[in-house]
Amino acid sequence: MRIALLEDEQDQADLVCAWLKGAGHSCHAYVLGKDLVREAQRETFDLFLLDWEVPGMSGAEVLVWIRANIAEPVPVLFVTARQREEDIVHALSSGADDYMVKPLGKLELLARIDALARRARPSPRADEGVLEYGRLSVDCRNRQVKLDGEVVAMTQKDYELAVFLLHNIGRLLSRGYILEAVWGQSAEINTRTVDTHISRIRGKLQLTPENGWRLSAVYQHGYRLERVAAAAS
Amino acid sequence: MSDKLIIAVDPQIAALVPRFLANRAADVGKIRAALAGADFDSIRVAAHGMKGSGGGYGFPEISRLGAAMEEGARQRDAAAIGTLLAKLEAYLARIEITSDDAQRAPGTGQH
Repeated sequence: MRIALLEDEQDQADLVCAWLKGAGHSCHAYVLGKDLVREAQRETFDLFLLDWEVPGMSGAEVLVWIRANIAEPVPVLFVTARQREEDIVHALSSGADDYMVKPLGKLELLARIDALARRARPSPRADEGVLEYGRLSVDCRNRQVKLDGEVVAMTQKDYELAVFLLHNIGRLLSRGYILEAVWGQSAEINTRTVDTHISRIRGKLQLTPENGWRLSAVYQHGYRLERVAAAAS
Repeated sequence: MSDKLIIAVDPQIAALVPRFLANRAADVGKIRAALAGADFDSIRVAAHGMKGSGGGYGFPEISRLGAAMEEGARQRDAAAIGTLLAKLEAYLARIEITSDDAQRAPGTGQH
């Protein structure tokens, strides 16, 4: 998962990022709430980890901004040294999905993140067999996408990108997010690579309005795959 | 018999631990200076950070001392903070870290 962390203590941010990366997540750390908010306007994150007490815009204010401005229900986990009951109630009633008191334990933090992710977006598993999306189907075991029952010839990267898009129908995905999810965090690939692969997949899988799909580029952000009413033939 | 506290740290964060401990040693100096100037707010902030991060790095004693110092700063109790600061300094001086966690539980000290 791509996780945004708001934490002004450098040691704490380094620690949490190391844990997250060790568990296979990517961690984007921000010292200031306004910086996280600016980035969240053009980037996609799967989860926010917010410290309460940071300089300037507080974690609580960032939480309010997230709930008011990000359409999809992205999980928010509050991480703070505050442990009074009224603080916990305030965070949860403001829209946080969970709350942890510092000092953190690695295993508990990772378990809570996994639980939040499962609730927010159940992930298709490789052993799930075949996933149906109208005329499209994904054969997870054989790593194939079929259109009207016919296997569509595609590279492994195109397959991974197609599955990623189908798993995130309706969601606005930044190019950076797509790159990290499909090519990996360390890949030194230009975001234009995403554009090239998206274009190819749009053609191969016929993701067009007349076929009931719209795979649209969103200016200065990324892409969104949506289902639309198929045009009458 | 050595007075060292041998503390096993999570190998995943072993590279971060020396800087964490160096920062805590720097905190000792900062808190001492703040104490001399009766700057309890600076002490509270530094102690708050220690409380939050110590346990995660495998040093629950740093979290404990940080929490106590934070409370001391709220109470403006210079004597208590001075005592806790001396304990923190002594504790830091005794730490010897190892990422060999096969023998010892993380965060536990052995004399």
